[in-house]
Amino acid sequence: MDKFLFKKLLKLPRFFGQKILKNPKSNKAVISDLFLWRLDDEWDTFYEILDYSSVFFSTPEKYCHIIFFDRYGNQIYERKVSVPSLERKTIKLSELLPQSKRINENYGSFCVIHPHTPKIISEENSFLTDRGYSAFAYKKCTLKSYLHGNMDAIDSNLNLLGGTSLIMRNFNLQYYFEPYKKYEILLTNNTPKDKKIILTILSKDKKTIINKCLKLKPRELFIYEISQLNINFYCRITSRIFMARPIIFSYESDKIDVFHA
Amino acid sequence: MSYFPFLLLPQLPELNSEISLHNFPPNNWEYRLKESQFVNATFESNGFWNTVTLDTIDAYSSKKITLEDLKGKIPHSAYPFLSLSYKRLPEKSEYLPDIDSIKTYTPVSRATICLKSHSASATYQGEINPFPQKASLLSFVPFLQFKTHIKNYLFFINLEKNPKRREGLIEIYDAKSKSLKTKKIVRNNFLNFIPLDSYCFSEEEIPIVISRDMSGIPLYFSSTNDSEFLNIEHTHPPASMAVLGNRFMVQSKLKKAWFSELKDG
Repeated sequence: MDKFLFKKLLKLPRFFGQKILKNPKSNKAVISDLFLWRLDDEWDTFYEILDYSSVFFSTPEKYCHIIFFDRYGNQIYERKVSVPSLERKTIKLSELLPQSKRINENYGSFCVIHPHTPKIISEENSFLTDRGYSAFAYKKCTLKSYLHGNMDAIDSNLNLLGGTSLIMRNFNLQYYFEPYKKYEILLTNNTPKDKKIILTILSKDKKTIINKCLKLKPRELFIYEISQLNINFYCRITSRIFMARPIIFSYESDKIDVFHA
Repeated sequence: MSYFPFLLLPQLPELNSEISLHNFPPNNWEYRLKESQFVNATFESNGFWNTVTLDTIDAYSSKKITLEDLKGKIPHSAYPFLSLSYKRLPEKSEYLPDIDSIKTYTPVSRATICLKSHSASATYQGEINPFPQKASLLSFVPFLQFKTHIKNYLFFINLEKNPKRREGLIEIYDAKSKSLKTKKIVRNNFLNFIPLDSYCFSEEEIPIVISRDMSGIPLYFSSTNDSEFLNIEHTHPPASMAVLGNRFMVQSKLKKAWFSELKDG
């Protein structure tokens, strides 16, 4: 067989019938990211809620639903929140998610479900998605660290929309981790099935230093902490999640720097 | 394939800018890495694109570029866009050089773009591709932080294929009242620095930043006065409020509607 053709055939399982995002089952569904919440004595989390209908010149939303999940993906709380039309509203999640709902848990996820899809979006056969902006406050920092949404993870019927690959894929974080620093890498399963995830820490010359194998349930999150490694290193995520793009928290004493990998 | 904007900020001398470039793809299914690459700085000067080769970078490695690496190699007033390329780029060209480099889509290949102070850092993984000259900008901004010791800025970065200098207009409004807060002339192929604290936005107002005649990446940066704490984030283009279907038509309609609504331009 032609060598070139053989190489193409080898690549087929990576592309055939695979989508990064599944279509919602209902054409009236709205979509949200699975945003991270971190709440305890050291952390608070904020969310900038936006009335998308007003942004799209539709009838104002007036309210939307915020649904909270624990780190294992179990739904723990739902709250209807008023949304002012074209005004900024910063929600402090420590005031929204009761302490009683997060005993023994200091992180999890939440989604923001808007009540309807603006006409401009529906007439183009698209779906409204909230990939808005959350912010984290750590210890006594006086400046919040903002993070944009990145995944179209879940629809208004709480169906997970993340695509699954036929075979395992590597996501190579294009980030060169520094020695003697604390990092946290947040992984999320935005697919409807349990997923095996292998997190590999590699030295500069690509030798495996740490190999951590995890199994995440649908909607489950995992924060992997790397502290004080004495060398520069890279990180690779291997899974059948189509786009296993993690969030990185980088620490400098009592300051955080948070970004998408 | 992409360029990477160096956050050159003479207005904030207390901060150091650095970019870490990575000569490996972000996944293992879209691209097979070839070999070492050139590290380039491309800047507009006298109506041409000029490129200097700063270094080379081995396959499967990273390289950090700081202001020190650029000193003496690009003119003081030039704004540099960094890149990686397998082939040496032309020293002078009439259009932005096409780059043969790592090309991926899920995700796109990015660099680590960072601002550092004496005790903090603010990072984002980014890239920039040339915008068409007839493109525009619509950005809803919920990032302003409102304490007396915090300053907020917009860094509007534009890159176009054509090096000929042209100006665009950034207009900043309050979304609800639609009142114009300011207009700023901005330049193409440049990082335009716009302080945001003098326009008296309240905590309830959502600033809208628009340009009818130039597109770019709007980066919003906040810092405490002593630079102890830093934050940087960009807004998504409006197309990212929709998925599937014809989302770019959604973006087009939304921009048209807001540009018509905001009439002070």
